[in-house]
Amino acid sequence: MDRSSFTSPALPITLITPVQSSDIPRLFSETRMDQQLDVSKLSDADKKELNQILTNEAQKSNIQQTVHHLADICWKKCITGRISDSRLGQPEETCAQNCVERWMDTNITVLKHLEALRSQ
Amino acid sequence: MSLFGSSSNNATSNPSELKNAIIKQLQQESAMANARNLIGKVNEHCFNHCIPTPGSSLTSKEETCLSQCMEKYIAFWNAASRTYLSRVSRESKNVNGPETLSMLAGPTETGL
Repeated sequence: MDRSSFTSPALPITLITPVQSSDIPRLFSETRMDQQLDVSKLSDADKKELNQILTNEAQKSNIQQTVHHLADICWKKCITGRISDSRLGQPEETCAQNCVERWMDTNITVLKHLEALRSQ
Repeated sequence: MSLFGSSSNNATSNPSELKNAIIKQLQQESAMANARNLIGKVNEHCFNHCIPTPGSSLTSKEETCLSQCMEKYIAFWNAASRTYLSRVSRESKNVNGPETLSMLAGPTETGL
């Protein structure tokens, strides 16, 4: 991900909607990959707009990748006992939050240390 | 949207329809990729969790565990997402200089 995406205040956080388990079957049935679209018919303004949308989608996709990674590592740490409820319990939610926050702290600490090493 | 007839077959005739079709497809494919990713992770984690010793068939107990695990994983993913997003927006608000920003770019670069 390029760095400019985090400097921009227009981080499209609102674009990231929570996943609903009911959305998934619908998604699989609606998505059509076979459609052929001819981009050459578009005006320059349209192309520019599309480019912006594409950039936003790429950024969103990057963030989602990070969340997949985080959910993956934090699940291993937080969900250790038997699963007896489909809902997320309060201790599990707290663990998820702490895990994500400490992962971010780790990243920042490592990078800070790296900066310090570089300036020595 | 039936004003111009069936848009699914002839969406490319009008430039603004074409643009909307591209945007729609882009968003669908992106959402699809995210869903595939999520399902893959659910499979991995819930198989590990619910089926420690694979038998000759799936027991009803394992099946219950799998559906509970799936819903829990999705809820867990959403909790991680909320926390991550609020942390990122908090970090980008208290910007102390360019080095903070470059540090923030780090976590996402690691990706998967």
